[in-house]
This record gives sequence, C-alpha cells and structure tokens, in this order.
Amino acid sequence: MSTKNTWKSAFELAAMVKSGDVSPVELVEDSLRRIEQLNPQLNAFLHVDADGAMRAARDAEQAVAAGGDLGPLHGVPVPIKDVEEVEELPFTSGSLVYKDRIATFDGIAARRIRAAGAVIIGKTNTSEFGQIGTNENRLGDACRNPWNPEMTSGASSGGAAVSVSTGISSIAHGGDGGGSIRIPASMCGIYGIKPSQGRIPKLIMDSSSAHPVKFAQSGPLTRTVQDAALLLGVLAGPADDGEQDAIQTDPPDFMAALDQDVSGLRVGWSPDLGGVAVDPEVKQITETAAKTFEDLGCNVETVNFRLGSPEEVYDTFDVLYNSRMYAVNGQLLENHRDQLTDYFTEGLENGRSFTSADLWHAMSQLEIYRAYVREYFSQYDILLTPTLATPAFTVGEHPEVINGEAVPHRHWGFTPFTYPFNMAGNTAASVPAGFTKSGLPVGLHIVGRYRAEATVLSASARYEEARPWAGQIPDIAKF
Amino acid sequence: MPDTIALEWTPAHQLREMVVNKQVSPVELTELALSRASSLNPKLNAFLTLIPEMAMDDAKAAEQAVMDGKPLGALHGIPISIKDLEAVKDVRQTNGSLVYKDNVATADALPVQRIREVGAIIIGKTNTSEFGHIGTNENRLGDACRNPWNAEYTSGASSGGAAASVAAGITSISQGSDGGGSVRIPGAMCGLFGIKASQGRVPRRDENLNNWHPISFSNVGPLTRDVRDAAMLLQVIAGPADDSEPVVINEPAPDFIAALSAGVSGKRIAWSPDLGGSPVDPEIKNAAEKAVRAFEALGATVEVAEYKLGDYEDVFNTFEAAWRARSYATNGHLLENHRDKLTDYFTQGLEGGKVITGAELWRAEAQINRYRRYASDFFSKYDLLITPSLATTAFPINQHPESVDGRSVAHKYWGFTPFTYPFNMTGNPAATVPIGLAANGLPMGIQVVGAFGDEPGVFAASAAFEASHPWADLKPPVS
Repeated sequence: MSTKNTWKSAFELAAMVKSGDVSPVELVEDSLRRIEQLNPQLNAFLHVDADGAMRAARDAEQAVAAGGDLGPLHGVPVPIKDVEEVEELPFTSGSLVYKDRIATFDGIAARRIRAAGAVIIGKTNTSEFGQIGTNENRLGDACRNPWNPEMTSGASSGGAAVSVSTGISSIAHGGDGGGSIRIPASMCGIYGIKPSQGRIPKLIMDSSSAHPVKFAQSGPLTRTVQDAALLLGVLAGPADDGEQDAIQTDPPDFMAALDQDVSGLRVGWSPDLGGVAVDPEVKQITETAAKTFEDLGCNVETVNFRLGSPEEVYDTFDVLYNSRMYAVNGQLLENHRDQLTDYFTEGLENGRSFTSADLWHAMSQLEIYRAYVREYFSQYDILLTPTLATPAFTVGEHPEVINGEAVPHRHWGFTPFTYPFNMAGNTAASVPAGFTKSGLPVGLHIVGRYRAEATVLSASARYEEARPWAGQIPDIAKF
Repeated sequence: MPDTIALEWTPAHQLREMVVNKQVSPVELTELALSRASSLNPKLNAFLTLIPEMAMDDAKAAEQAVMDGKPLGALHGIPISIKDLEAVKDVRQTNGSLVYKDNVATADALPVQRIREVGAIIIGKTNTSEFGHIGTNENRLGDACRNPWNAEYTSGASSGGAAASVAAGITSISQGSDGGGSVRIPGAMCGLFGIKASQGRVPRRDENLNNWHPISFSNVGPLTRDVRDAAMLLQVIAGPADDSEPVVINEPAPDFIAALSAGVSGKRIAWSPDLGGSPVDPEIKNAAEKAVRAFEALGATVEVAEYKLGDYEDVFNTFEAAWRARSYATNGHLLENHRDKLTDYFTQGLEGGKVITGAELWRAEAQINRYRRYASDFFSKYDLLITPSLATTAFPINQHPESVDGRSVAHKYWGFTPFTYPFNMTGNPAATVPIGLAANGLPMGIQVVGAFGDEPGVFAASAAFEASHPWADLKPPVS
C-alpha cells in the first residue's frame, strides 16, 4: 500500500493533482484502503461510497488530462458529515429512524465541496442529529478515538475528526452547533474552525429555518491551518437558496489571511470563563500554549470573561438548543420513540417541557450575552480558552464531576467553552496544544470577533509555525 | 391672539409659533386644555389622571422662559398628554390595570423625558386597555374610553385616551404607542393622523430582561390632527440614546419635517384592499380605494398588488402566539397574584400565553422572520403600500364584530384590525390617514406603510394627501 501521500495536506494534494504528479484515482484508492483498515475499529464512516468515489476520481483524472480550469480541491478525497445531504447517498443524521433514507439533493456545503472538484468518499459518523458532543448512536458501535479506541472521538463531527487524524482524508466537512467541530478536533489532536454564524448558509428546509436564532455552522476539520482556510473559502459566502440569516457579504480571502502578522493583537486568556470546572492538567497545558502568543508579539493578558454562572449559561443554551430541536424533530418523540437514543429522547423531552416564557426569557438572555461578547471584542481581538474542560474520556462515561465540581449537565460538562460562542455567533477554532500524560490530545480554543475568521486563521497559522503538530500521528494510523 | 382662530383646533406647530411670538401664553393654552379636559372627560374618559397643578407649574415656567428670552424647544408651551403605559415622574401610572391603580412612577420614561425636554406641558395620563392588550378601551379603572364622534362607540385603543384627547380638541398632540395597532386603531376610529415608526426608531429605556428580546413589536408614536405635528413630535422622541433598549435603530433619525414637502411624484404605490384575504367592510374598502386613487393625481403610480404574508388565520395565529407569549413572559405573575383584579380579556391573553410551548413560540418566531423577508422583498419593488386602516369603523362599546362582510374573523378582539398587526411583526413604519366619514358618521382611514426605516416616505405621502384632501374641518359632535 502506498503511504507517500497519506499525510500530505489537501493544498499539496490539489497541487500535485493539477500538475499530474498524482492521480485522483490513486488518492481515492488510498483513502478507501485506509477506511477498510481503520473503520472496523474506529467507526468513522457510516457509509463509504467506494463506487461513486472511484467514478468521480476517474472523471477528475480525465478533467486533469483534458486541461482547463480545476477547482481548488480538484481530485482531493473529502468525507461529508452525515447530517448534510449528499445526493443519492444515505442520509441518516446519525439516527436509526433514518437508517434507510437517501438524500435526493446536495446540501449547500456538499454542493460547494463538489463544485471545488473534491471527490466525496462517504458519510461520516455523528451523534443522533448531532445532539451531543460524543459519538454514540443506534446505527452501530460508537465512533472511537484514534489515540485510544477505548475513548470517545468526541462529536458530533466525530467521524470527520477521525478521518482526518488517521490520514483517511486530509480534510473533512463537519458542523458545529454547540461545539461539534471543536470538540472532536480537540479530542483527536487536529485543527477545526467554526465560522461566524451565517458565514456558510444552509438550505431553507422547513418553517424553523427562518428562526432568527441559529447556532449551527458547517466548517472544516483539517490537519493544517492552511487546509482549513482553503476549505472554508470553498464553503463560505451567501447563496440564493440559503437561509435568510446568512451573512450577505462575500467572505474575505482566507488564504491571504495566512500570511498576516499577529504581533500587537490584543489577546485575552480565560482559563475558566469565570467559573467553569476544568481539569487541572488541561488547564496547565492550555495555559502554556496560550503563552505562545506572547512570543508571537501579541499583548496577552488574563481576562475576566464571564457571561454568567456556569449553570445559568448552560440553562440558557439548553432552552434555546432543545426548543429548536423539539420544534424541528418533536414528531419523532411521538412516532419513533423506540428507535431514538436515550440522550436524544431526553433532549426532545426537555424541549417539549419548555414554555414560551422560558424561551422568551432565554432569547432575551441570549441578547445580553451577545452584547457582553461584543463589548469584550471591542477591547480585544482574540479570546483564548481551553477548547474543552477535559481530554477524551471512555465511550459512554461522560464526566459528571470535573476537578471536584459537579457539572451542570453530564453531556455538556466537558465542553463549557464551546457552546457560549455558538450562542454569541462568533467564529472559534481549536488548535492542538499538547498531550496529557496518558497520551490524549488537548486543544486550545481561539475565539474571534463575529466575522473575523481571518484573524482566527492568521493567529492559528502563526501558532502552528511556533508549535507545529504535524508529526503527531496516533499509533493506530501509523501505516 | 387673532380671534378668528379657535386655539383648541390650532395645530401644535402653529401654537408653538404663537408661543414664541408671545401671541399666546403657555399658561393660557394649558388652562384651556385643562378646562376642556374637565368638561369632556366625564363623557369620554380620555384621561385616567389629570395633573392640573403640575401642568400649571410647568406652564408658568414655560411662560417665564419665553419672557426671559431663553432658547425654546420644539414643543415649547404645547399641552400634551401621555399614555398611561409610560412613566411620568411622581404621577400615577396604572398601565390601564386595577392592579396598578395606586402605582406612582419614580422617573420619566425616555420618550416622556424627551417630550419634557423640548418644553411640552404634560397635562395628564390617558386611558388605555389593560397593559394595552387589546384594541378597544375597556378596563377596570372605570367606564370605557369613548369616541368623540359618537360616545356610544369605542374610541379604539390601546391609545384610546390619546386619540380622544386630540379628536375632542383637548390637546393638539398626544403620545401613544403601538404594539399591534394601538396608535393606528384609535387614530382611524377617531379621524386622526397617527404613525407607528419603524421598530426601534423610538426607543424606550433598557429596563428589564425582556427589553432584550429580539422580537419587539411596540413603538411609542404620535397621534395628531395634523401631519406636520406628528412629524414634529416623532422627531422629538426618535433616535438612539445611551440608555436605549437594545432593539433600537442606531442611526440618527431622518428629518421628518423636511420629508413633508417631498411629495409622491414618481413613487410606486401598491394598493392592497385586504392583504390577500382579510375580511373587510365593503364601504371601507370602496372609500379607501377611492382615496388611494388620489395619489395618481399627485404623480404616483398606483397598482393593485398582492401583499400576502400567509393565510389570514395563520398570520393572526403567529401574531397571537408572539403577543401572548410576551404578555405572559412579562406579566404572568399577575395571573397568580392578582387574578381577581384583571379584566377578562387580559386574563384570557395571559392564560393563552401560559400554555404556548417553547416549540410553538419557536415556530412563530421563525414565521415572523419569514414575514420580515417577505416585507423587505416587497418594499424593494414598491415605495409604499396602502391598505384600509381598519376592516370596520368604530363599533358600540364591547360589541367587537365577530364577523365582517359575512365572514367570521380570526379573533373577536382582533377581527376589526387585520391591517395593523402584520406591520408590527415586520417592523415597518405605518400611519393612518383620515379619508372621511362612513354612512354611520364615523371616521375611516387609509394605512400608509413604508419600507423599514422610511418614515420620511410615509410622511411625504401623508402630507401630500392631507394637502389635497384636507380633513381639518371635520370636527366631532362631542367636542
């Protein structure tokens, strides 16, 4: 088996495809072989489209031979998270209810990835409807962490993170509505960025699509910051058939942002957002990583960033997140309850229990948080926090106590840093910050101003130069 | 003072000139207003509270300022009334509710402060439905507010007293507010001009959590006999302030006075007699259509256009869900603690709000956001939309029409006003303009709706219509 291209970036691969140095067919064959090897243990893919990918690879090969314009991801294998529609492929949303559903069209992210010349190789694993940040569902065994398969990959873009961290693909499509890109990126030791809310529009799907409060964005999981800029450039920008909350201005040139200097940026470091429970080892690793920005010439100071008590912030998120979940998927409780996971049932039941007054107050509270975050970013360019409060943990064993403190909710206690920025709508990335003594990756969370993906990408790129992580490969993937 | 002019029917902008030129004293104007109030109020119940001593003190101070040659504000010396939902320092504020019968405000509301700062003389607090909940003016503080054109009939509400005060020549201008039609309804029923500005144009203070809710329908606005007077008063209360509520338009308000002479030449005016299916009294429809045609003579193009947010019942149900949810979120505690003091309609509204689920509100909010997109698309094609102001004229107290033009209405309390609340949901500026009397001797109006932020366009059209079809000579018998 050829491994010479396994750890190359998408940027490099696209250039090699373009120059004829490698065929898309070879790249797809490599990816398919690695899936065959790794998926039985890790469950990164819910569906592998071997035939379709090989057809697309051959078409891509012909297009190279024919000359002409090639997209920025031409011939590069890319998996799509299974909460996004890809025409003619299974579309389970991580749910047994939709085990046999086939998508009849491409979602906007899939459409754009395809239009950029990428070869879609399959659909990656996710928690049911992306509900929680670990990757158990009723379609099979959990998605597992390549650094220790006893541990969760994190989720909801769990399969995407595993695909990238094990060299199945150089990049992957994910989505993040409460942390679902940053959580598995942090747990699997790769890079992931959630763009600002509305940067990547979704198709208008149902009556809830028009709701003004939106938390979920598609986004890239990659091994290099450059690849994230590349894929984000492919995904971003307004669409005629997109939801109305989409940012209507054209995105900036994310690749150009990679060259930006970051010296002089005002960087705040908050180890606990004013009171959330954090594992001391994680805190120490991320604090050391955060200091890198001093070496990069930024003005780094420890800040008191506090939206409210951990419980209040979680409760506000819970009302907004699960009211929407119930508004969109509540019928599954009535019609398919026996097929749902316990956690998704709990989320829907929570959603059902909220009154209009609960939602009214939560939406008001949300605006207060947003004002707080705007005020912070009028004084600082970047907020750094740990990405997660803990490293990955054993599948199904969500920590209920962290550093001696009970968490507000079992499924969310390990990720108190991510969902506040879904509520606020800011862009936020996770960069690898180091490893725990037990060998599990830890991520540093880089939060930027609303619509300032370019700042987050340039900060990430400078950090990557200072503390490169590219050589860190999980043993299971060393082949 | 030239004795050919009856001061009680003189527009505020002329009174102000007379005050500045020392042709009339603020004391004289205030005495006249107080004397008309005390003789007419027993019949009309326009005022819940009169403050003759404070008003006379203010009037004397205003007179002194004139004599001292001090700089004089835009409404210097002009008697005005404040709706009893806004706070006037040291004055009783009932909110139209028996629960707050003895409540005394401790500070001026922001619009009140602004009105005071330009020298207007506050003579009292006007009648309103309980918490402004419905569009007719019954409450448990006393007899209903009555229509000066026929005291057996409702004034309309919730700014009922404000309208009765102006229509009966007690004041030339009144402050009202409009969350579902509450300026336009009594404006139309009492033969006045009244405008609800774009949502956020006239901020209140940031006083509680619910101020932050992004879906806000209520705007403070003027009720006047004269379009220029409304422009003057709106100019005084419009624009951001440091302590504004969050849902505020942050740009300075445009020049409404300058807009009065802009005319409608070349404007694209859409005419919708029924917003795509609301039941309307044929007499009103015909009178409104005739009035709309006047804009052609003024140089505009007028075409019949479909403006349909959705089915009539669906649009009402969406409004009702948001309206009741907000009422319950804000005042739900009254159901528990003061139920015996509430009106039936307010109890019904709160109970309705209590049982709306978070998911239902979520869907309603999504729907409202869709309506906003519809409105913004519509006003990219047209400059103005004209509809009848109401589906009926005023009706006898408590006899809300349950069917209109042979069709059942969506809700007894809202059936007569299907044209107003859609523009609270979308946030567009909308005015009611008098078009004469129906066969029953009661006033009718057309509603002039503008693009979001385009109060100047609404003022230009209203002033042009006023100049070509003046209504100043129409005076109600009760006065």
